[in-house]
Amino acid sequence: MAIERDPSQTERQLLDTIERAGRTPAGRTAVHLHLSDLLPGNRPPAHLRIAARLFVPLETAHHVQIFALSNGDIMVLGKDMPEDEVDRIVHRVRALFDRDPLAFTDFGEHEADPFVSWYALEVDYDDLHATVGHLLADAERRRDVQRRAEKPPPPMRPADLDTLQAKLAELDVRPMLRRQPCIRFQAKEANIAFEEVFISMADVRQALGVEYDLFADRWLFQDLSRMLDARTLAGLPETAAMSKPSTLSLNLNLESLDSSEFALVLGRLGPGQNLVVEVQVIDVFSNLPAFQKARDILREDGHSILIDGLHPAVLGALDLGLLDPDWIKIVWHPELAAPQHPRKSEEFADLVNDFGGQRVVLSRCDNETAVMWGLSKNITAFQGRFLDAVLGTVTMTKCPRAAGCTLKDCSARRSALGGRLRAECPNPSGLDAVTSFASPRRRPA
Amino acid sequence: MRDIVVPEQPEHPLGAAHEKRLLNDLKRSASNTKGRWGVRIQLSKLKPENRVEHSLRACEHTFNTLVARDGVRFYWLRNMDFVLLFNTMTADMVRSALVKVRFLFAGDPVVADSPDALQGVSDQFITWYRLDSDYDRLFTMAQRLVADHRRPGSSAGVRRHRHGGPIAQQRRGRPMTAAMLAKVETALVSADLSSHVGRQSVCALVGKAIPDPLFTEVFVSINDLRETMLPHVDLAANPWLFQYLTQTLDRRVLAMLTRRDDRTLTQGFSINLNVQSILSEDFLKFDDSLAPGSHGTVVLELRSEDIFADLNAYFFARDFVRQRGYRVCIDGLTWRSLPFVEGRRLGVDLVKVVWQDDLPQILASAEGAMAARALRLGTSGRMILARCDTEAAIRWGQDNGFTLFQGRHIDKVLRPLAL
Repeated sequence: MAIERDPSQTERQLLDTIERAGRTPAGRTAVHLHLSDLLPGNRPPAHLRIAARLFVPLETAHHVQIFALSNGDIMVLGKDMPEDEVDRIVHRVRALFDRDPLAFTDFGEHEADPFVSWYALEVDYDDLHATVGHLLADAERRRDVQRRAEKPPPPMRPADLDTLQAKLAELDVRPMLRRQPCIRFQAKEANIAFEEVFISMADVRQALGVEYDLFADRWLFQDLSRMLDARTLAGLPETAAMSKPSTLSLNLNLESLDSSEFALVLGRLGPGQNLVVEVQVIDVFSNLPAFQKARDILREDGHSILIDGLHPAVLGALDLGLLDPDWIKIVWHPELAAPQHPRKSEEFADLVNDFGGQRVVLSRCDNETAVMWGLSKNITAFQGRFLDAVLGTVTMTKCPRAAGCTLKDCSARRSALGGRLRAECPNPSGLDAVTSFASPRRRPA
Repeated sequence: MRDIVVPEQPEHPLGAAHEKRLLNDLKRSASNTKGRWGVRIQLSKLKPENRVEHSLRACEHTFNTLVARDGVRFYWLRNMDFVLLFNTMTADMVRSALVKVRFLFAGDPVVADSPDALQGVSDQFITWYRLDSDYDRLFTMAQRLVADHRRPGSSAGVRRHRHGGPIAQQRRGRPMTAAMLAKVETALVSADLSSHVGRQSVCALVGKAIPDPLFTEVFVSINDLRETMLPHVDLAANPWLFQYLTQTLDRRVLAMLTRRDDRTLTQGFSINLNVQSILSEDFLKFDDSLAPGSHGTVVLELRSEDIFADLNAYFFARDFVRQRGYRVCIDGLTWRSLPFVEGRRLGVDLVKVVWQDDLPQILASAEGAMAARALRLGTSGRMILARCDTEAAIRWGQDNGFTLFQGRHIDKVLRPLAL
């Protein structure tokens, strides 16, 4: 059996090395890159590994020691280091992360650079020793927490996918279907623009006893999603809430639009009820003619098409107007709201305007900041936990039987399309009663 | 019990692909014949009842270890014969394996008791080639086998498909499933990819000047691989599993280039990669293995759908590789995708546009108007016209501002120059 490496070992080695170096501090320098302060989405392990690799040439040429710490920070230690060269590499690392506020924050003359700290051991030894002491203590704490915590599941492999697909064919997904509203803010009122229907992957995992990470590989998950499409489409017409929203949105692979299950869903739509079909950009680019055909057919029948899961940078990288979807959905990233963002905010507002602010949804809005930022960029449609909470609160306020419910209960029951969760509500019709509420007042720009 | 219709002249399913590999491998070792041997075992001369499938499998199995560990090459021919290439170092092991083969078919009259058959003297069952002296004989034989593929009625006339190329034309066979993918993955771990690796130059071609090679694309011939591993499977039917497979191939190609098995590839080449592969440990090892200063001659080819699938990862990977000096090329744009993918916006050095015979007509039509506009706005020195199989493609490209070309027609022009 492999012996698990103590994740705080690097920190311990670093402390040892510094203590030894402290005896002959002349000419010794330490450079500390605070990569652990990057936003979580900007520091996947692969990116941090690459950052550390950029220093490797110094290791051989100047006997510099590089410590890739367990929290993601990098510490570079050396004697008579060529400062210009080190600085150049620090600069390159900064450039790699220049989408993160940590890298671009403009700090004052008397403030410390939040990205990097330099220590000359002759004068700064005590500071450095204290810093590394803290790093070690943190690393040990993290290690202890990690040891108690469950191991992260291994990635899904092709063989797992094969077994899973067989099991999925037998699964009743109806109780696993969820919905999330997309809310459009107008001058005075906010309305539900559409309700997105999706399958709860947590429920699927639990029902099938899946012990691996379904999302580890994008392509394998995408293949799984073809199967999920069929199950979702087959289960949807039999749910209690299918007929409620006037517009439903569904995440689908383009190929699923040709399936008999999709035809069945179309047939079961009530009068005046419409669909938004959400497709992934990978699917669009893997089969452009299929996308164009689907868009035109859906539109002709009064439905619409949405390109899902776009990074905000996509507006600058791609002329989405040429693809001409009815909607695009941009994923909220917290760094967007950081002051002094180098991708200038005005520029982003222009891009939104060029495409058409009415056709943009900002998704995964977990807090008010996201919505306020979006409104200031001419985006008017929003989706995410923050909106779920607002809608839940209003639902409870309007509900005569809400006394015994919590907001969490109400939101969860509202999100279920049928099954046990929805049945738990003392007033099920109340779950669909609220379709609008007063818009928040906008802060003056 | 029999549930398969046996054609009148049975053909080994791997034969066509292996014959081509044999010819390619022979071409490559033309100047390196010293101490090398070839041998052809004529199973086709066995009585049909002795040539049952499990014996054929047992036969191949006999050589598995020699192939995996000792560099012996094994090729099925379409007529069920097989050929081995090896060198003096492994000759004894091959001989002892051949003893087993003779034993397998000992009851058949063609496997006569000829005492010298294992010592390099040909008989009616085993033909020996000492490449020092018999190279031409073996080469001509391989050439003839491959030339036969083009004859009408031959099933072997398949075109190659590159990693990243449009695979839509490849609709045949059963769709790939996750179960098959799992098997292929396992097989790929020990498979020798080197004979499935193709290369094709990208050349600058201005006016009537001789093509000037800029770099050579190194690719795994997916079709070749498919024929070897999944002869009856349609990879294109499942684009997502296909993409997954390309990631596995990325790792193998990077490992191969890192080991630098092929000494002619030190610089001036391009490889197809997924964005995620650039962020992998395999790529970092590959990066380490390049000589300082040669990074700038290496081009990384990425596909647009992969780029847009995770732009954040793409920007990070692009900034990293450009800092290291690599050049980045967007691969496989068709007239349909071209309007949406602007090299300038994505910050790449090159874009590769795929030629197709009806491209001029499409661009003149209403449907192709956006692509025509994108081509006019493109920077000529940054666009490669790929899959130029004919002179007409080159002429059209030159008339439309292209200066960089790739394709079989270029290969044809270059080949005489290389000799």
